[in-house]
Amino acid sequence: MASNDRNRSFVRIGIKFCGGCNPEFDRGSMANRIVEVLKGKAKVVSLQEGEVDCVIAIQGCPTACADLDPFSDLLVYRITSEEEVVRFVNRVVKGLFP
Amino acid sequence: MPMMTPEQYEESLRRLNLVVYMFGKRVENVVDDPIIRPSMNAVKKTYELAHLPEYQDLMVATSHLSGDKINRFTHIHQNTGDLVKKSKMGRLLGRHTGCCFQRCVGMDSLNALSIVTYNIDQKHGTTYHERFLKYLAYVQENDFTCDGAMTDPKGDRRLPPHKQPDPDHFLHVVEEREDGIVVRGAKAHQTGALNSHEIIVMPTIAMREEDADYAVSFALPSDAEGILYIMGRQSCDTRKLEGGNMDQGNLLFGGHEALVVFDNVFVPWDRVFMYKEYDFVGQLVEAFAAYHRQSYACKVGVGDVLIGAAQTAAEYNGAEKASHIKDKIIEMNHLNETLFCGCIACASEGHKAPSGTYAVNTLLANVHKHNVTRFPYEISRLAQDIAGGLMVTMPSEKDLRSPDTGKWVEKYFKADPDTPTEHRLRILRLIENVCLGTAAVGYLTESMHGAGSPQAQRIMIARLVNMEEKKRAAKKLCGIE
Repeated sequence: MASNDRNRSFVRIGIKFCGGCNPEFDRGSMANRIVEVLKGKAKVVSLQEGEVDCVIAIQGCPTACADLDPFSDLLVYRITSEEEVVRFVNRVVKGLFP
Repeated sequence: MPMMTPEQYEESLRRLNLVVYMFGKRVENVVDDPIIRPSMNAVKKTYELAHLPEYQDLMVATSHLSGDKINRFTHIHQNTGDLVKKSKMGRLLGRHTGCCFQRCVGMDSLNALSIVTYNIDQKHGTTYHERFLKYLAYVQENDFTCDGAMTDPKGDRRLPPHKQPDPDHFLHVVEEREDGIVVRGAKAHQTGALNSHEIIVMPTIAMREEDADYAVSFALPSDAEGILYIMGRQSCDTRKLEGGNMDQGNLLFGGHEALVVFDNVFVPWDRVFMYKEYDFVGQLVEAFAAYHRQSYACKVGVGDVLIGAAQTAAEYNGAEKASHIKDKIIEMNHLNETLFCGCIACASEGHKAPSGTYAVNTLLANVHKHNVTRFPYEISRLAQDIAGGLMVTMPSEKDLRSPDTGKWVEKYFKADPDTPTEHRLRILRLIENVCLGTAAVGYLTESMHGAGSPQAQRIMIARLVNMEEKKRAAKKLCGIE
């Protein structure tokens, strides 16, 4: 899935969710927050439709049961709480992403 | 078409020509009937969530036949991970709908038949498994909802099928033809039957040679000639006919059950998965029952809704800080999460059957379902305790809206000053719906009797526990051995 195209100015990101059986936070709104902060820095791409450079795995609890096997050769950011969303957003804001 | 959209699902139901009766009359438009439609909405949710990235990790699986992405409800479990995801999917959908979403029974039928058709072939040299796999591919390709029909009316409980005064009290073969068989009988309590494309029939109890004509399993389109449906009533069902959007409690979703009559129905051979192999009936019943007992994971999701409603009602009443209220909420959560433990445990401890299908741990599935026959009743009792008597004495929505009475309803049922009276009444109606209304069919009595009544689980628990090992452990510690 990873691309070697070094001329691109943005990183292509896929968002992978767990199934949400009993989430401890609103995964959808957290994903929207991440997409918002990534505007201009990265492009969010559907995991079904396009190649991605890295994956943000948004999982509703520490069990973190989403199947990440298809992304084993990619950089995967694992998020299992709102605090981790905040840390991730701060990382992006500080230019530390990816 | 690997996965239907919710809209495609609804349209596919409109193309069916089901023969449905309710209140003594033929229902001409099943999909739009106000009493039936909430149940269709609940099944429709299983299609909707499969298209949303936030839920696909549970709702979507990869077919072991085609490699295509399919709705998990048509999937054959390939490992314990699949079984765990099935349990989690049940909780997810229970919480989204607050009721029975009806589609698990078809999934459980498919998985049970995938095991038992293989085993029959191994012993009898038949070709049922190949037939079944072709049928399974058809179900997966079309993303069908299947009704799993097991429970016969059973007539006189003292008598086996072949001795019943009315032979049709257990569904049976009445004619064998070159191109198939003709069956007659009925299946009772059929959850979601009117929202299904297919009906998968299985026998209901273990049988002997004399009952061979009753040892039959097959699948048919739900609108096959000779099949008719008589809708079951639910407590408070006609509130859906009253207009308004409050007194139903759950405004969007519901369940349904029906009596399905097979009046001399023809089944082609390629749809027959068991024919007189009475020696495998018990195995099929047990395999299906174990899967279906696991499926009561859904009640955890409905429990989530009821606990959320009870907490909300406590806050609207201004009672949420009372220590006994907090303790009751803790107890409700304890019971609900204990149920979750059971459905996860029986999945995690699953095993591979000779056909390759993964089966749940039967003992733990029975323990889980046995808990389900009890805990929702206690959760419901606590919810009613917290809600207060107003839940069953408050006036109707029409009284709330009436220029003559509305001001009094508003005035005297106000509690927390920051909460509109209507909100308080709405949350109480939802609790009433789950504890006493249409959804109580699914949350309470179905929890008691669905997938087998409590005694059925106790028999299985007695049979499956490793008593010799327990005795050995005890004797060793006290020096007997």
